[in-house]
Amino acid sequence: MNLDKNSTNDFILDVQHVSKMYATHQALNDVSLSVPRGQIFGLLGPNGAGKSTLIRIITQIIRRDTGEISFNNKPLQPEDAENIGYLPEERGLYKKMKVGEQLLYLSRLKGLTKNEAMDRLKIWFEKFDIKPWWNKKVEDLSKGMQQKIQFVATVLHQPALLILDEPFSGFDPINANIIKDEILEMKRKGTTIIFSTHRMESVEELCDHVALINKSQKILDGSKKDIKNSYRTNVYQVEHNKSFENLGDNFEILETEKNDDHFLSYIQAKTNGLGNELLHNLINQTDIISFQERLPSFNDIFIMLVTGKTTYKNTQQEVQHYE
Amino acid sequence: MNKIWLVIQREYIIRVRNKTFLLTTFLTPLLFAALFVIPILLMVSSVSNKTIEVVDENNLFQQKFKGKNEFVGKKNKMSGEEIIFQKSKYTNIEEARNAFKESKKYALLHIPKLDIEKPKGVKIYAEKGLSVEVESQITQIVETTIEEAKIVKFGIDKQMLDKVKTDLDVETLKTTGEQNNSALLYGVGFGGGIIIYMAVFIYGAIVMRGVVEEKSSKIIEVIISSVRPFQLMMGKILGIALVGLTQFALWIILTLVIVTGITSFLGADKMAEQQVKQNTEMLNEKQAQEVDKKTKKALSGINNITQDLPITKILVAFVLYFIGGYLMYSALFAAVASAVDTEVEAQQFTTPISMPLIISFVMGQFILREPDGAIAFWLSIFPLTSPVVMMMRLPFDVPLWQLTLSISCLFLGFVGAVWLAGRIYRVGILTHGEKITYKKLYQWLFLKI
Repeated sequence: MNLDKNSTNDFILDVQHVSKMYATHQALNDVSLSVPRGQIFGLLGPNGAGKSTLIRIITQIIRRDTGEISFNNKPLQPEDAENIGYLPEERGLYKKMKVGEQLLYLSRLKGLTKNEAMDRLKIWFEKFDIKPWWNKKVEDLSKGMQQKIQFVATVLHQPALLILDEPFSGFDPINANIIKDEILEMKRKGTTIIFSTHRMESVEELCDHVALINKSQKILDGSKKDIKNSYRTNVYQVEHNKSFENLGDNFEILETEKNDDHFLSYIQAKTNGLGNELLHNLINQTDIISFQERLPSFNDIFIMLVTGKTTYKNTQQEVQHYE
Repeated sequence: MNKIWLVIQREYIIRVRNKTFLLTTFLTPLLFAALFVIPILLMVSSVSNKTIEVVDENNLFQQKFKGKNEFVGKKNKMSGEEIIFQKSKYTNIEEARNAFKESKKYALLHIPKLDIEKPKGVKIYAEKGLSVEVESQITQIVETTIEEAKIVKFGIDKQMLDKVKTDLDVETLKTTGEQNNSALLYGVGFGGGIIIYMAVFIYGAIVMRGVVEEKSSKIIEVIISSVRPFQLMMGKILGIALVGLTQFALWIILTLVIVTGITSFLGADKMAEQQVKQNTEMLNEKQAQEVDKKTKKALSGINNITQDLPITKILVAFVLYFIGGYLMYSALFAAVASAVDTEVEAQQFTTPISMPLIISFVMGQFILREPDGAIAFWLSIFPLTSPVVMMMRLPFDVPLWQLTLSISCLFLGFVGAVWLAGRIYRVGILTHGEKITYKKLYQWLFLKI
């Protein structure tokens, strides 16, 4: 199912019909997806769905059995590794090596010269205010500090494509925010970012484009806006302080809960764009405390796609405000 | 290629800068040097002669004293220590014993009136108990003296007796007519074998630890997104090989420098000369001559090492067998290390892998006894055993065709081991927390990845 309606055809990465079989286990089954240049692409799916396998194929750590991959409109080559930055889920550093040396080594493996690497490192060390760490051994740093170093190592060679596998796992909120800001900054500068995670709520705010993978197959792919719209259920959630009964032919009251001093109702509209009409009808009968359209979260969409169950109540307590 | 070079550099530099490396590299030559120098120092400094007081009721030693009060019985070649026999002031053993307690002499020898045909009652008194060496030396001197007395008593023609005595000096010669010194060959063979054996284990273990470290610190996936696993593996193995060669080179150079420095400081050349001179001044002229002959032979033996040993061949072969054996085994070590998560787990696989190496070492004595036997031959061709076994055989001069065959097989073995290791490694480094069996490792060989 491809919901990408405003396709630009400028894809930095194009994966076509890729399959991968481990000894007895089908890790990827005919997966195709295209990553638009300059966007943040969310690769979502539960643990073990095949996200990491796909990423390892893109980073050329393992080979695909079948299928084609092009990078910058040319077949993917080993040299392209220098244009890809990869922060794996299982990540670490040489514990006994000094921070500065280690970053130099890692960036030279990505094709930077020593001088280039030094110049860029200076900027990053100032930016993160970590100059005194240059000669410290990694094992003497806290976990949060190490994660910053890992991030610098991933982006230092200024890759056109950045792949982050569960980037926030293990980050404290402060560092997570710093990294989040850096990711947005890199996007602004034109870097394409693939963002893989099983915690779907965590990427909703960052991603422009999303692909869902489940059981080795891609089950959904498209821009965030399009997906959200197409899975719009036209359910409104209203908090009010008096009960109401009839809202007209276009609306059906699905459920009303009585809370301490107010009511919470879920109302199904027949078609799109009836928000104003609903408001109008409500105002005559009750005092409205809040009013919003219940847009499904990716978690809802995912659960719906996998289990076939629709839910109008939010599974993640996350609410998209009606605009 | 550029990237493999970066890996080699890193592996080399971090190890060469490591404190342990610096310590072992610079302290070991001191140890080696000490082994050379301490005996020399002992020789120079601590010459304490041992005086044996003699109460000779039989006048057995009359000939030896030659009218003087004492004579030198024996001289220790290494330390220059002398055993001096001194005529006692006393003729009565009881008086002598009482006086001896006060004196600082080493021992008191009592030769009572005795029948030289059935000598009995010779006693040695000592404050602290004699060393076995000194006791046997005293006994020997008394015995030869009695023998000489017997010769006189029985009227045996001494000249005739000397003619009867046979002193066979067997020289081992090669068919080419060159001299052969089998003890030396044995030593060099054993030494070469043991060095290769230890080097392969020590540096192989370093490779293993390096691979496990990359896995357990989880940096591996970051690295192999930039370099191919095979490049990483080879870079590590080659980098550590260079560390090993550096260490060997430094050991040899530093040891030579220290030894030359100390010996020239002490003037060891002169000392050795004096040593030979003293030896020739020994009492028993015939013995002395013999000793002198042997010393000269030993000296000429050392001078002729280059003739005795195919030295260039051995050195070239050492480097080839070290590199070949090390590369082969460390590739296998890297492979098993890649499959496991901890060093302890790795150990359980390295023991079976290194079995051929252990066997070739254990078989060492057997091989050295029969360096041209069938077992020695086959073990020196088979690549997993040839590095150690061929080093043992080499001093005994191995035909060139065997050497060529052996090195070719080693090269093939190395290529095979690296191929095998590479196949396992690329799967292993991405595997976490799995129970590893040989069956699984075998499956990995043919896994498409």
